[in-house]
Amino acid sequence: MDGRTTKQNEEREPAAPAPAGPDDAGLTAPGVDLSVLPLLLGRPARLPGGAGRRWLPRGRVGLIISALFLAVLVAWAIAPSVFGGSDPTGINPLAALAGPSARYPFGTDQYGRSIYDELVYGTRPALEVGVLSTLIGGAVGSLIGIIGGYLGGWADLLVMRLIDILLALPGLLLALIFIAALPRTLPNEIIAISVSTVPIFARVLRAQALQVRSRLFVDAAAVSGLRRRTVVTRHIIPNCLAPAMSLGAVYVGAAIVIAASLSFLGLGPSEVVPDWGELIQSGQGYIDHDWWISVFPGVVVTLVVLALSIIGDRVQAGLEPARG
Amino acid sequence: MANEKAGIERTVTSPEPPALSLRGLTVSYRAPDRELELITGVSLDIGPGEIVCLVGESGSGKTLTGRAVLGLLRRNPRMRVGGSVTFGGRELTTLPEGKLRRIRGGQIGMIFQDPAAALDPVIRVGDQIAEAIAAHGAAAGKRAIRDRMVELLSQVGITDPELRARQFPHELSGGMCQRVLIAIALAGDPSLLIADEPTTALDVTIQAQVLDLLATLRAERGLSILLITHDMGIAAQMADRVVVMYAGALAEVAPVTAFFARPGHPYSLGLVQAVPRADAPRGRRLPAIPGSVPEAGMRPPGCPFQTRCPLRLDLCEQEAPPLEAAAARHDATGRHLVACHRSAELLDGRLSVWSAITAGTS
Repeated sequence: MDGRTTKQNEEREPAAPAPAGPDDAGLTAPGVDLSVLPLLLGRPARLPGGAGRRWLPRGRVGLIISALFLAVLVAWAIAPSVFGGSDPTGINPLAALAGPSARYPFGTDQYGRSIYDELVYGTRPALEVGVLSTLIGGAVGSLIGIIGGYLGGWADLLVMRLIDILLALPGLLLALIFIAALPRTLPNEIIAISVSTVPIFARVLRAQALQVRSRLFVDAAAVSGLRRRTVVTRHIIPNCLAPAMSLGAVYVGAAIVIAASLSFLGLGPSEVVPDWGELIQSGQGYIDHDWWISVFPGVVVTLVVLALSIIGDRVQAGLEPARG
Repeated sequence: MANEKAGIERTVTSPEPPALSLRGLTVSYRAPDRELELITGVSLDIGPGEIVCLVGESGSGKTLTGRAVLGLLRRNPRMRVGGSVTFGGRELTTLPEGKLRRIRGGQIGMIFQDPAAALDPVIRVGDQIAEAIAAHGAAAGKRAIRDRMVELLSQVGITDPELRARQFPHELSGGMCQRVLIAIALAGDPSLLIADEPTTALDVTIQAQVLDLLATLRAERGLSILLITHDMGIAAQMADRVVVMYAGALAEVAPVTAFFARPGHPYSLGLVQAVPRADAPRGRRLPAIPGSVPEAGMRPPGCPFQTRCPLRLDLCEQEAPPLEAAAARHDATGRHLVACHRSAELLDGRLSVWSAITAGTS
């Protein structure tokens, strides 16, 4: 199944329907992976619970590859000096703009710095931003959504209209607005990206809370004499967690992309060196001859997003039966 | 309506002071354009240790009545509950939420139609029971709560309670889930149980076991039970008294033997005759009541049943019949109440209703 999907992606013939298989897996988006595009704008390709994203490898293979890739990244983040040499920012004019080789697997930039080393050292801040801003923004958004959905009434109405306003702005733009008003440090970047994650979590978790609230076991908990607080913390929140978890996995990727985009625009945290987004940006002027400067960091960012999407998808699929 | 209420207050009393008493209970729903009366004045008593079966078709308001008693409709801002619900001398409709919480589960337990859906899928069943025990302070300390939980599980007939307590709802069968729910309902040691179609989702064997369990609990603990069902067989087997509800109002209230021997309302008669009988002549079609319950807001003025009633008179379209005690020649105790202009003729046996209709249609 995975092999077929890959083949169809290589065909790049969106108009011609691919040879019909036993099912239509892989037919939704042949050719270029367009569904990453919305992610760049701060929206996941789809929200958990919907149909689609059939082009991803199904089953365990995709999951294992994704997990392995992320494991490598985590290793890079934990011990960059083991994988990426001792001096990622060391300048070596003699090796400037060298193509990929055994010595410099991803080539070098105009100052002779190893792109691979810079990528390895840039992993930790990238993952920090991705994970922390998703955790903070996700927790705040989920709480707002669950409380609004459970309580209902005018408070819910008010909060949700505010959320709607925030949702009208793409995540990247929202983060831009905040980062523009704050000193450019890593914590501030995390806050700015957290803010951009809040509305979508609030929206999804509110819908989930509304659905959970109307389920019979919530009434049953109430008639057994439980306090409202207990009903919310013990029954509503745990039953809302499944979509939050898969949304979270997807949003770590989105947050990394937003962070890279901010750096690309020159709005990244100034203390972070090397920075994935800055790497992509620095190769911009050389892209026609010395493509490796931008391409390898770009590929890594794309793969992170893909891997997290796949994992988010599997998390969702795995948790669904428990949500019964 | 006013004289209907007055009539009941005079006549419907169990020999002992009632555990639960409804007086002119109304539930209305505020639709965008109008107010719909879903329940139009239900008055009813349940005595200590009594099993009262509330029967009627879907949409007649049985479940809503049960939920209104426990204040479950409060969270819906469009629902309004009127009239009075008294339990243990306290008025529940106006009781603050905090005090009502203690009554829920503590004095009135409730179980539901779909036991699998009434349990939280992500929490072990033992913990769900423990939660209810802790909510009422029925036991304090981890150890004591655990012991009580295991005790409750064995009381409701679950074998190997220690193992079952560690399982999740999806690992248990429907009948097992219903037993767990009963255990949760009993956790606060209530004196009244509202059972909303507790066996509808279960197969016949399990159904019989659960009903047996309810009967045992009544016998052992003196538990009063309001059993909501649409199954006349269950009513005949379980009830001390049968209450027939139609279109949000009571059609008939009668002791179980009197009810099945001679129902005084054409609707009740239809329900009773629609049950297959082993002693019925072979080859006869079962009579069915044509049509369905009119929706709230579509109910005709006068008697709510007139649209489907084969005995309709002009009077029925003008005046809703009050719920009144049958004449003394039919029931000297005054405990058989009917809301029908023609109940006397029916009880006299002068009318044969549904068989005539069947003959005409088949």
